[in-house]
Amino acid sequence: MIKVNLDIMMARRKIGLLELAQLMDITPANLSILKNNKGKAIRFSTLDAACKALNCQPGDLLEYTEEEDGHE
Amino acid sequence: MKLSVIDRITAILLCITFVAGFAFLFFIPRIIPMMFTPKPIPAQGFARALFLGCWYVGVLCGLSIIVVLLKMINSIKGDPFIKANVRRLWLLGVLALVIVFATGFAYFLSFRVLLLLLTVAELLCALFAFVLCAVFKRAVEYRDENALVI
Repeated sequence: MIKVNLDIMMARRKIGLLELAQLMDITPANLSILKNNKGKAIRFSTLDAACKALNCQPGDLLEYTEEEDGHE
Repeated sequence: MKLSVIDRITAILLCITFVAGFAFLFFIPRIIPMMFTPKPIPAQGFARALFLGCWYVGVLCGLSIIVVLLKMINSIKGDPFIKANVRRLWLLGVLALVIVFATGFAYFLSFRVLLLLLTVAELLCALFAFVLCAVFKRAVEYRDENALVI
């Protein structure tokens, strides 16, 4: 499964949810969905905005981990 | 979101049909024999009661269908792609099937071609509702999945 390490990057950059949502031009609700790994997919434009706001690479935000039971 | 002109006209027609259908309930014993002249409907008490009972069942199901349709029309104001509308479409199919059985049973009591035609038409409506229910269910799933695309 793909894990979103948004909370880790937010902590490193010391930025809050509301501020990041404003910088990324998405709603706090959607950002929360992303942060809590509830999202089904992410647009490139959103990933681009996140990397720009957090000054990082996509690999810093997205991490692949093996599922133990093998389903998505 | 406001309803479009066509949706409003549809809703008004549904209301008019509901009122007319409700009024028809009270006139079934008088109107149905008139509709089936010159051949009379079953004259014997029990068969006649069954025959008229089929009409009552049919009209009540029809009224229920109209109520469900009005609820679906109203859901357009918000988000129509909800599980409640999937259930409503399924219910429409079930109500149409009940009408199929009612008219089919009435046919076997009177052997009038009109009732056979009504049965077939209503069966098509029931199948249409079930197919639409399946399609709508998939649409709701797609919508829910897309809602989680950030």
